[in-house]
Amino acid sequence: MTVTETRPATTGPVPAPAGSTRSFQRRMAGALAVLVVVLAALAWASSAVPVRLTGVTPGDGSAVAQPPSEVQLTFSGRLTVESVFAQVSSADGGSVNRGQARVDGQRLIVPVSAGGEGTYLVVYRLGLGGGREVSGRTGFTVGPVPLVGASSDLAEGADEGDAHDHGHAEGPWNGALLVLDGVLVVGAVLLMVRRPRRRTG
Amino acid sequence: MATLTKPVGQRPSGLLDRLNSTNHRAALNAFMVVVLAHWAEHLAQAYQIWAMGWPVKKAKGVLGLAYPWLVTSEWMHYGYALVMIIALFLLRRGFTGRSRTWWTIALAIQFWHHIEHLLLLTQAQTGHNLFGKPVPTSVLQLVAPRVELHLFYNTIVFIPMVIAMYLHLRPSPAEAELMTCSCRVPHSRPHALTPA
Repeated sequence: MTVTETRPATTGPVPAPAGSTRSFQRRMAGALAVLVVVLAALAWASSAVPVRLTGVTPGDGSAVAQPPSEVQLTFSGRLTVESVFAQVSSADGGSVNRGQARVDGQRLIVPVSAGGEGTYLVVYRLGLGGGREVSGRTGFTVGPVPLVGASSDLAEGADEGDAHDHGHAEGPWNGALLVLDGVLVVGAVLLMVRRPRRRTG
Repeated sequence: MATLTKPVGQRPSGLLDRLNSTNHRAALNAFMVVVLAHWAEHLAQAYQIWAMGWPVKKAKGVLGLAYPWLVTSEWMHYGYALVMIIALFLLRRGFTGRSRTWWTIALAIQFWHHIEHLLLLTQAQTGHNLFGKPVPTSVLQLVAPRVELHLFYNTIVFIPMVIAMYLHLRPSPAEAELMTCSCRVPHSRPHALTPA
């Protein structure tokens, strides 16, 4: 007895009965729904807003006509502060703090006695739970001239312990990789768009 | 002498069979859309930095503008690595010949990439960092910065993927003969083996 193998006469994939296909599609839709729920749950679990500096008064780099009596730094996220350091310095480096800085809700309030016109630098560091901290600096000018170059990025500095910032696209290696990836992306798109067509007849 | 004919092309039954036969084409398309969307975000970041002159910290791609936490979420990065490895694994069987080799290379590299992200996620969740570092650190971060390292990972996974896709969609006649998935483009009716 000879056993031979034959492929079916069709040249494409073996067709499935319509009912079976519907069953498969239902199962796929169910799996997709479960996946969406799981991803949504993960997104919700990870969506705790990180602690970041979202605003400062006087504004970073701004000029104010009158010396402020306090500097207010506003943070996002759950602010569980374990330690506070905040210092406002004049251009000569001298501190103009007036009493202890305090946390009020989402705000860090630093009483100051800015004496006159000039630039002022605000340096802050909040110790958070879990060994994390948020720190940075900002600056303002009392007088007509806006402060230039002494400020920091308002969004910077928080939750560095958890951060994976994909925004660092600088540097020759990243540039070269991104160029290569751009070429690959174009190639992949062309592969999908210009793939050989299946015959339907 | 009796001759029995045993059909090779069985109707796919399980999920894995379906994904790698009648639905391979659609599944690959869906997977590539996810992968390309991820790359689009990276390229959008690069455009924001180099073409629009945005500060690096503010260049968070497209989704990151609306949802900044996405960019720094370990869960998001781990989730993408997980989706990648699952899809690479599930869709591997549909590939044949050289394309399967390249797809397997991508799977192997992504496996390690996924382990690295798992290490990072675990450290971020537990608060205990490896190697005495102040921030979550993966193994190869000991020799390369994190951002460069993971961009490199994504690139060296994507390269064999694209090669595998190319070879899968433009197979040699011998490879085409072995293909049973919906990506197959019939050039001619396969020969049925008949008794000599």
